[in-house]
Amino acid sequence: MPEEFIIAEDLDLAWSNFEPFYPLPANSPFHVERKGKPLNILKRALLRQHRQSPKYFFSGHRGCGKSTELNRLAADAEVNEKFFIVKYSVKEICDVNNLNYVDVLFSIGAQLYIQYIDSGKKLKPELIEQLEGWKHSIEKISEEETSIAATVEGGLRTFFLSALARIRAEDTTRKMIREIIEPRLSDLIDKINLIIANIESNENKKVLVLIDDLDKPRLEQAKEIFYNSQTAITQPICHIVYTVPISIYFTQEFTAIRESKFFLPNVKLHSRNDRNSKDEEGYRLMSQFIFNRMKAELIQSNALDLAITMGAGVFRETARIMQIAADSAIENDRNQIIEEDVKRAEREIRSDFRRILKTEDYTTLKEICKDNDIHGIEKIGRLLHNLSVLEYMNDETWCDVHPTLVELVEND
Amino acid sequence: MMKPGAMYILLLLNWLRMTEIIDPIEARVSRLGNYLIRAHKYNKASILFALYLSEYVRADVEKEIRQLLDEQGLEALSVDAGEYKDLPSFFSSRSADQTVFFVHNLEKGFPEALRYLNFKREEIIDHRVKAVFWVTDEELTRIGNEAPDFFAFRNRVVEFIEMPLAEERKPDLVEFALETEYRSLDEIKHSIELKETLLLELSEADEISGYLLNSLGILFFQLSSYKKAIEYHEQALVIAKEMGDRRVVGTSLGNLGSAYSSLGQVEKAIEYYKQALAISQELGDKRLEGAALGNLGLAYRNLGQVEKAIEYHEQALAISQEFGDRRGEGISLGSLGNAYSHLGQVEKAMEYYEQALVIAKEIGDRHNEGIWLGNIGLAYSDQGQVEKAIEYYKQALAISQEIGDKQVEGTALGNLGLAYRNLGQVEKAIEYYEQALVIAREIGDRQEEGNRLVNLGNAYSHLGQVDKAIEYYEKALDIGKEIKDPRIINFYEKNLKSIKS
Repeated sequence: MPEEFIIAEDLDLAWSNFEPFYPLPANSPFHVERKGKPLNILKRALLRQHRQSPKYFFSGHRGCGKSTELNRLAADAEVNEKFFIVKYSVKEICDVNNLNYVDVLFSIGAQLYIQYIDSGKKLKPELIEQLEGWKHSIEKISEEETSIAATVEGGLRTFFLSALARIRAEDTTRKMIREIIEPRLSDLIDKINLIIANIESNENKKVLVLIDDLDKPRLEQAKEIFYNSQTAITQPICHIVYTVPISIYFTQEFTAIRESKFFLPNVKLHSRNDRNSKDEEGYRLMSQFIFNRMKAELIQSNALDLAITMGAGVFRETARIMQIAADSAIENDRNQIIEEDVKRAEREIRSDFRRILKTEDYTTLKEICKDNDIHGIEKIGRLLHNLSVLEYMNDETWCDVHPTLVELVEND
Repeated sequence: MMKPGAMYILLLLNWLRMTEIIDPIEARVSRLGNYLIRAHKYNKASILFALYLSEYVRADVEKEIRQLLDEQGLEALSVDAGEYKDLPSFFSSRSADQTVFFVHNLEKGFPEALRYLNFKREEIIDHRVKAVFWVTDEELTRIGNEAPDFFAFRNRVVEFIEMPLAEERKPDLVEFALETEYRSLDEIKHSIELKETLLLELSEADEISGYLLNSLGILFFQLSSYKKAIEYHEQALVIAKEMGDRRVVGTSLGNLGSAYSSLGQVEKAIEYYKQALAISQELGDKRLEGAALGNLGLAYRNLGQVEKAIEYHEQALAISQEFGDRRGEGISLGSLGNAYSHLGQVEKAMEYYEQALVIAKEIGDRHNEGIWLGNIGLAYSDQGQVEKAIEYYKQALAISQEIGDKQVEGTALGNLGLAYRNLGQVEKAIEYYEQALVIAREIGDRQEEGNRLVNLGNAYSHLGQVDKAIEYYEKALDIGKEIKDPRIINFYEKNLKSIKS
C-alpha cells in the first residue's frame, strides 16, 4: 500500500501511483465516489430496522473496488455509531484455496472474540466460563484423536488463534478440526450467538461482521459454501456482509436470495448497444480517478479518452492501462502520455486475452458483442471471471465484451 | 549493449505482431530492466513475463538484463520451477530488497507450480516480490488458463520471440518444426498458424520447410482435414525427393496413405503404403517397414480382405519381434485381434487382445492399454456378455480420462451408451451418448459427432420421443453431408422414412 498519496507531477511517480494491486484505505485522497454512491445502498440497508439480522452478499468484478468500498464502509461514522464492527479478510486467516463453511463460521466466532478482546473490552464471566467449557470439549476430542492438541494451551484467545492457524495450515490438521467441529456445529453457532448477544448488550450496539475476500475461493468451493451451506452461514444472529465471487452471483441457484444481494457495478461508459455513445458522467468519474493520481498535463486528451474507454469502467483495469502507458511514455523519453502509449497498453491486454480465450469462447463473445445480452449465465461465468465479459447496470443489467476485444470479435 | 539487429532475424509472427510495430530487441531488453529498477525504487511487487521461443535468444537477453540490474545494484536469482514447485514460498524465504527472481523451467513444475502460484498469488504481492517468468508461448497459455487469478496479477508480458540466425537456431527450429504432439485443439490450431507463417517466411525449400510441411500434414490429419493433410504431405514429398532424402520420402508416402485411407480411398492408400514399403525395404528401415505392413493390414481389413490383412499383420509382428520393438509388437497383436474379431472368431481375437494388453501394461503404454481393454469389451459384447463388456469399457474409460486420451474416452463412452441401450437402460445410454458427443465436438471429430447424433436419435426414437429423434437425425444429416459420409446419409434417409410412417 502506498504510504503517501501525492498527485504525481512526473510520469515516474505516476507509474507508481497506478499500482493496480492494493485496495485503498478509507479516506484515501485517491478514492473517487461513483455516481449514485452505490455503497450507500448497502449502508442504508444496514442502518434500516430489521426484525432479523440480515446477511448481505456483496459482489463485483475483479478490480472494481470491492475491498476499497468495504474499507470505507467499516470507517463510516454512521455505521460505527450503530454497530460494533468486526471486519476481516478471510484470506488472511484461512486458506482460501481450501475453505468450507465450517472454517467460515469458526473464523466468525474467533474474530468476534479476538477483535472484541483486543479492543480492550471484556465479555461477562459466565460466558467466558461457557466458552472455556466448549474449548475443553473440543480439545479433549482432538487430544483423543490426534496429538496436535498438545500445542494448545493458555486462554481462549490463544485457543482461537491456534485453531485458526491449524485451519490455515496443512490439510490433515484442518480436516481434523473440521471433523471435530462439524458434528457439533449447533454448539459452535450457539457460542457465536452468545458472544454476539454479550457484545450487543455491553456496547448497546448491533454487531456487524464484514468478511472480505470470500470471492477468492474456487467456484466449486464457493458454491459449496454459499448454496449448500447457506442455512448454516446465515445462522449467526448479527448483521453480516459476505463477499461472493461474481461467477456464482449470477447463477440460477443464487437468484433465490435476490433481496439480500448487493452488486458493486462497473462504471458505465456508454449506453447499451451503442458503443459510440459516451456517458459523460462515467468519463468524468474515470478522469477524476486518473487525475487524483497524476497531473492532467501528463496525458494528452485523446489519450485520456482512449485509456478510459479501454479500462472498461473497471478501476483496476484502468490503472493497469495507465501504468503500461506511463511505462511506454517513459521508455520513449516523453514526459506526456500520448495516444500511441495507450494503444500499446491496449494491444498488450488484447494479446493476453488471445492467449486465454478458447475457440468456443469467441462464439459467446460474438453473441454478447452483438446485442449486449446475457446468453446463458452458465456459459459466461468463466468469461466474467477473466474480465473478457463485463457487466453493467443502469435500469437493467447488460453486459459487453472487454473493449480491447471488440474489434477482434467483430472481425473474427 | 546488445548487438544491433544483425545478429537476429525476425522469423515468427505472433497473433499480436500482425498489427504491432515490432520494437528493436534492445528496447524490449531495457523495458524489462527498467521496469524492475523502477519497481525497486518504489518498492512495488512486479510479476513480469518474458516470452521466448529460442533458448539461445533467452540466454542472450537474460544476460543483458542481468547486466542492467547489476549496474543498479540489483541481483538476479535464478529459480528452477521443476525444483521449487512452491514458488511463492521460495520467494518469501529468499526475498530481499535487492533481489529479482528469474524463474525458469515452469513446465517441469506443472501442474503443482500453477496451483501454488494461483493460490498464493497474494503472498507474492504482499512480499513485494519482483520476478521475471521466462516462458514459452505454450507455458504462458497454460498459466493464463490454469492459474487465471495469478495471471490477472501480471504487470507486463514482454516478447522475445525471435530466432537466432544460422547454425545456432537450427536445433530449436528443427524441434519446433517436428513437434506434432499437442494437448488440445486450440494448441493444434495455434501451432498450425505459427508453422504456416514460418513456412511463408522461409523463402527457399530446405530441410526445415520439409519438416514443417510434414508436421503440418500430420496436424491437419489430427484435425480430420484430410485433404489439407494430403496437400502438405505432397509438398513435403516433392521437397524430400528434390533433396534426395529417401527416409522422408518413405514417411511422406506412408502419411499420404493414411490420409487417403481416412478419406475412404483405400485402394489409393494401399498404393502409397506399398511404395513406402518398397522404400523401407530398400533402406532397411525396419520401423518404417513395420508401419507400412501394419497399415497395409488395416487397409485390407477395411476392404474386407481380412485374410490378406492377417498376413500383413503377421509380417509386421515378425519384424517387431525380431527387433524387440515391444510397442510395435503389441499393436500388431491387437490388430490381429481386430482382424479375427472381424472374421467372427471372437475367442481367437480375445487371445490376441490379451497378449497385446500384457505388453501395453508392461511397457506402460497407457493409450494402447485403453484401446485393447475397450476391444476386449467389444468382444464380450459380441458374445452377448454385455455386463462384462461394460466392465471393460469402464476400465478403458478410466485410463483414457486419466491420461487425457480424448479419442479413446469418446469411443469408450459411446460403447457404454450402446451397451446400456442393449440392456434396455435407454436413459443411461443417452447420458453416455451425450458425453461422447461433447468429446467428439471437443476434438473436432465430425465423423464421430455424426455417429453420436445418430445414436441419440435412435435412443429417443426408442423412447417414443419422435420430435427429439428427428432433431438429432437432422443434425446428423447436416454433418453427414458436410463430410460426405454415405453411411450417415443413408441411415438418416432410411430411418426418417420409417419414423415418419
